[in-house]
Amino acid sequence: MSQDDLTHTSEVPPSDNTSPENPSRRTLIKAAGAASGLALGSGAITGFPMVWSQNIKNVTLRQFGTGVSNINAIAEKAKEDLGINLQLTALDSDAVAQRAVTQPKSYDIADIEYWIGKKVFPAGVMQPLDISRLKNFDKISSLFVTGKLTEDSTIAQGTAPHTVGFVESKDSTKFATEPTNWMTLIPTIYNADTLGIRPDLIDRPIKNWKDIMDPAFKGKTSILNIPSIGIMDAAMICESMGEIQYADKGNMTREEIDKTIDILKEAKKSGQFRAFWKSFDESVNLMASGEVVIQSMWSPAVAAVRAKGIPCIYQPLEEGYRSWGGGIGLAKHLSGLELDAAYEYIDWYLSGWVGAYLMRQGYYSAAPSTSKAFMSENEWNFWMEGKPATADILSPEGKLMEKAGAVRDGGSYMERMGHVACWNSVMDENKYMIRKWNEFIAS
Amino acid sequence: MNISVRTLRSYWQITPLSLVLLCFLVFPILTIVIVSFWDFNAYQLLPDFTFDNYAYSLTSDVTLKAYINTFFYAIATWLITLTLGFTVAYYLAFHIESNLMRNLLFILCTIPFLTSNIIRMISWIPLLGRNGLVNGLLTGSGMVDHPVEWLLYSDFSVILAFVHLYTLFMVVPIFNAMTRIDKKLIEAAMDAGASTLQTIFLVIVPLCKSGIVVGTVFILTLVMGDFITVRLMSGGLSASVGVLIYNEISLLQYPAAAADAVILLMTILTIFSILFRFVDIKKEL
Amino acid sequence: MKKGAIELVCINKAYGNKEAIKDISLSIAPGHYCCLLGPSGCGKTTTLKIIAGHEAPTNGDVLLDNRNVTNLPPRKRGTALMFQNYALFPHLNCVDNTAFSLKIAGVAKASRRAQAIEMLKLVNMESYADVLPDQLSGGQQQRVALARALINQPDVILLDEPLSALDPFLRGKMRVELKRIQQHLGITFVHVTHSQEEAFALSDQVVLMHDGVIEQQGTPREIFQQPKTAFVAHFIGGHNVLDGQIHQNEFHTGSIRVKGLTQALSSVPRDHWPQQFSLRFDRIKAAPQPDKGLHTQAFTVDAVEYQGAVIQIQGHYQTGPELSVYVSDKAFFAHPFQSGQEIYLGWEAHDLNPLQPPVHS
Repeated sequence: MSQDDLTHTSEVPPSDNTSPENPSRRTLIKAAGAASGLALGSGAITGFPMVWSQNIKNVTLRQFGTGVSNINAIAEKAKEDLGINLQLTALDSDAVAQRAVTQPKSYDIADIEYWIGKKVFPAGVMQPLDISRLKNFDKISSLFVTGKLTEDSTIAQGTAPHTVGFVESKDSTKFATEPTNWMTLIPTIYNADTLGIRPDLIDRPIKNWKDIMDPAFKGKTSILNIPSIGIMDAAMICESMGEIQYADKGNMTREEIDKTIDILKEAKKSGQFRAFWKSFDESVNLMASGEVVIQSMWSPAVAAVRAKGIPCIYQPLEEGYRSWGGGIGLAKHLSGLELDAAYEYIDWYLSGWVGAYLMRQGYYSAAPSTSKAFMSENEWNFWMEGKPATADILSPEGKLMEKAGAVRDGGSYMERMGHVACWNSVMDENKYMIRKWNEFIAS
Repeated sequence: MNISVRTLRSYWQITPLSLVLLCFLVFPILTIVIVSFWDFNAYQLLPDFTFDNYAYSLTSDVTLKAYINTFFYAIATWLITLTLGFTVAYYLAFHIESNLMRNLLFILCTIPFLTSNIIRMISWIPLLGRNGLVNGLLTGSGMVDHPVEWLLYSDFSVILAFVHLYTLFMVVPIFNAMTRIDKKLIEAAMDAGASTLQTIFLVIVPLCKSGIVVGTVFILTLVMGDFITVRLMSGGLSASVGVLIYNEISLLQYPAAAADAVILLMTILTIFSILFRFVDIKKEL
Repeated sequence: MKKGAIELVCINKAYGNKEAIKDISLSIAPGHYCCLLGPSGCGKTTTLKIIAGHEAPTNGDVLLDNRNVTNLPPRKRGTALMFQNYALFPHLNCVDNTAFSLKIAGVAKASRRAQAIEMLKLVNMESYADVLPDQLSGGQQQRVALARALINQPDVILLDEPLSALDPFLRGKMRVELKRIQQHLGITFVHVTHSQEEAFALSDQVVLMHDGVIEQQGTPREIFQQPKTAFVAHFIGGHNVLDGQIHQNEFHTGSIRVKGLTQALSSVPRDHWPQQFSLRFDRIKAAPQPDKGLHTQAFTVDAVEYQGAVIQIQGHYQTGPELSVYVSDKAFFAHPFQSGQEIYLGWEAHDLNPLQPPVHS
């Protein structure tokens, strides 16, 4: 008998639960599912620990995505609640898109934005989720199902999540026009972006996107230099200026792109912009140092400036917000126990703890109602209802974010997400747009 | 027979280095060249043999502007680092008597490298920014009424950062060449009636030529290949060739980036082949 | 009237606490070939550099043709320095090296090239006009260096150990060449060397230095005939130095008595009579047997050295002193000696050269 054989023998999996050969696996899962369903039905929503399947313990799932929601605290909590090991890889959004398509075996769960999903899903590297297996599906905000927050909401331009949220069947890669049983991405996190301003350095009210082009702020403005997002902000600005009317800001024609870039070039030439930023830190530095008084910004960056004791407002504008949303989807290769674990994990994701965690960071939860149980009344009222804080608002890490009495910029969830003018998107003329954008940067 | 054994042994001796060069220089460059002929869409590389990437780069205004910008940065940085580097090297080589002092001053020259790139870049803001130290001094002393804007996020700040970073790369080779100059030659020049300036230009500069060329190679390579300094110090307002390539890479347009990289490589190699025509660099290494 | 008279007046040079040159005064006549001779560290090169203007004296004045040039830069003095190892500019060919100072002076290219070629002709290097220094032999570099020094028609050429880098054969040839050129131009040459042979061969005036002071100066003959001190006698070679006392017209050294010193010491007051004499190797007679005119004491031979024209015998008296003797080869091979053999020596009292006590304490 050789050494190899001996070694092999000693590597037999320690637990029968995780052995793929175990014939009773399926039945066990069904039982566990039923159990947790029971637990849910009996009021688990109030925040008591739920009963989660036990057989998925120690399953390892590889999740990759942008840093926004790839948070270690979530992996730790998932381990605690579900017993699964979540391996997180954070990349920038372009790399995420590419990896999702070109290396589909390198991940189990993709955490991607909807506009990325629009390109990735048709490539056939992912599988849709069976919503009947998700107990929390009906808690998901209608924004991601019908596209409307309320009955009379208008649907925003761009890649609205619901338009790429469903496919027609299990094996289809064609997006469905209305909700089906097969969901491409389960929404996790989203927000509405607008301009950040330094109220102490600006002596007039800021109401519109076009205000960034006000000659009074010459040399004191900035926009972000990520073409796919920057062009959207630019479109919001141009439309607000009355220069261009877009059919769909999320899918511009070449003429619209040309016109938009020309306006940007003109502004750059006349010295309107102080800088263009590419990373989160840069935007914080520009704002905090006073180099810039009005610029496109991300919500946590505003919080970071404020954390330095410098006044900064995430200014709601009349034209509405540019919004973005992300979700998690399953890799095509996922099957068996891993697939079961992934479903379990996704359901858990919607069950409230994660949503509350993300809401405390200033984002929105896909299933706000489940998160409520994990937040204090003060937190809920501040973040969701837009009411003045009755006590200090702390970040998930326990740092002071807002003092008692503060009101969230832009107000309530309805106020903000109800005024989305456009969703982040990828255009048909993407390649052309990027070249024109590079021209603008080089000009 | 004997000779072939010796030849064999020589081959064997150069094998490790050849392998390293093959793996880490030749192979990657070949890959880049190959990919530069590929096609691509938003998320995928499509193996192909197309000249589109080159055709676009070579005809586009963006490329032209980026090259003009890059050459401007390279030449300005080169001129300033050469002047500064030569002066510093001259001082170290001919005016500092003690070795300890010389080493101390050398370490002083490396200080810009003791902090990370990003920290270094960010620290310019409190110095050169609108509310920075320099502007504070200028407005405080009444020399200007309004803060000077071109100190930061301008060509000035880009070149300033380059000079700050790369002067050392000029100092070292020039200093090295200077230490090899026989001090008697300077006395001989003095004896012939040469002033200090004449001695520098007629004796020291020609004898440091190799050091100057090596320094020039460093500066041109570093500046022309740079993207992070240009992006951060110009506030993203201007683009060099490196920034273009970086943008393309971050947008996953690898074939376009590869084509631009090949063009840049050719440009730099052409410049160097002209440079080396003037100086036999092997003699000095 | 020849130009190139040099006068050093009380020159002193100190590096920190160390005095390299101690109050030297020296005059060199125009058109003379003067060698500064001495062991390394004696101050000869420093002296040269002070004349050249490459070093400033701590004290004292340098006069050239009665002009005080102490504070003038090299080029304004009318001197030209030829460096040890020549210090040719490696990036310039022979013509450009030679014409360097003309270029500095702003002479037009054609004119300075013509002058440089002229100078290269003088040193027989015109065929190497466009060659770079590192392709030349030591001797050739030397010639170019000389041409470079000569191009400004200086009154004084200062040469810092110009021959030390050459092999002995070339050294001999270049010596002749230097002398030829110096006589051809009729200008003053000041040449630093540690070789007594070189100094004697070239000089009109030898200045022998030791420890920052001039031990003796004069023509080579004067120095060889009458070395002033024991140091000089030793340094130039060929001299025994005898220690002893004078007792009533007799010089006692060891067991040897030498009579009849009156003539040599007539000018010296009795209480300043020397206690040391030098005696040339070749002024001693040697014979295997005692003879008339030889000292009666036996001299033991310790070593016999064949040197070609002469044979050098080293040996000692039982009660001192030790002596070296030159015997002509003819005389030697008539009666060869071996080491260990006892022989008999003799010399004339007037061959004893009285030495002064050391110049410095």
